[in-house]
Amino acid sequence: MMFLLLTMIMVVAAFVIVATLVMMIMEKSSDIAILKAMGAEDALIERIFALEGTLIGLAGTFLGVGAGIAVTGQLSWIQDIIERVTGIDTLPASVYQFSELPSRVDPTQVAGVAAIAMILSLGATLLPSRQGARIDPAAGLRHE
Amino acid sequence: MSEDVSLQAVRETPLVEIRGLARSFETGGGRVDVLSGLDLDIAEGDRVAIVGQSGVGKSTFLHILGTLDHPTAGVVRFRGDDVFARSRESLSDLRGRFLGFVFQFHHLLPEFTAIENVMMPGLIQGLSQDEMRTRAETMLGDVGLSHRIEHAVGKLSGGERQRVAVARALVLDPPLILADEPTGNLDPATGDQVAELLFEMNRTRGTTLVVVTHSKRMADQLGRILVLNEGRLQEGEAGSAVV
Repeated sequence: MMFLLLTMIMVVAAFVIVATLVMMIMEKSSDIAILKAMGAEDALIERIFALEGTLIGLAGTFLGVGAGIAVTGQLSWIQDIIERVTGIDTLPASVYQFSELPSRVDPTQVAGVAAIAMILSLGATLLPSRQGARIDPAAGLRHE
Repeated sequence: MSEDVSLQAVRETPLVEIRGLARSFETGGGRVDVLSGLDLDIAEGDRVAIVGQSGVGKSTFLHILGTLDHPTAGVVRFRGDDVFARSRESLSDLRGRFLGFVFQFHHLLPEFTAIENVMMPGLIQGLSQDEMRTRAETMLGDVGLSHRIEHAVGKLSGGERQRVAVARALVLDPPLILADEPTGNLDPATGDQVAELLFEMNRTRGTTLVVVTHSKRMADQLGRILVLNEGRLQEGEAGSAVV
């Protein structure tokens, strides 16, 4: 269940990568046109944007995994801070049978989530990169 | 003997040969014929001014000549080779090796320095960083920007940016330079400097120039004036430029 939820969150994140790249390609259409005027082939333009999307995906995956492990390791401390600041007992003994959130870092699950995040982000770069590579240079120059 | 005949044939082949060129655009209001049945020969080393009123299709013509746009009909040959019969990849290669572009708005890549912009065409062609750096330094020196090579393009003045754009267009020594109002965004003195750079390259390297311009002065300096009107080009005389 948790894995499914995480995968859905990652799918949403992948759409954010798609939207970011599409916006970037629209903004860069005149630069793409210039590169083509200088002899850049479609494949080169596609590689540039695929690389950019992959770097975004890699950075997001590393930051996400790092932040996830850090938060999980300090869950009790974070809960304590929230309770002190808000004055609310987040897990009252009268309701829950435990006083702190149970958590465990499962390396297999972490690796699985990171791998799916990378695969989704790589997949998310393909369509916008191809779209960028197919920009008509004359149109790119006209729109400047 | 046969070699002499073949060499003679090469010399007599125009650098650019255009036959029956047409370009139309589909708009909401129907089809607009911008270029129709246009014929033209441009010889090696020619200096051609394309003049005409705004909106007659001068930039469209230049884009087609630069293979950035495709004609609706007609043939464009570079040294006898039908360029639009080529694949997309082959056209890209042709643009990189055969053509240099100068635009009204310099179109430099803002994330890079002056020298990196000038190195770019060679790097795209797979030449080494070292070779391109040497060439770019020389080229920037030729356009009087030795002291600005490591500057970000955003820190350069309009005239300096356009000179970087000229250096970028010339760095691989292409036989044909296509310029779309290269001085249109500059004050007269700076415009003259940029124009003189192009003329100098024509004199020293034999670079063929095709320049879209509204400047009567520049058109007259170029020498061969072609007036674009109602989709066709006509040979004009000095003073034909539409300012």
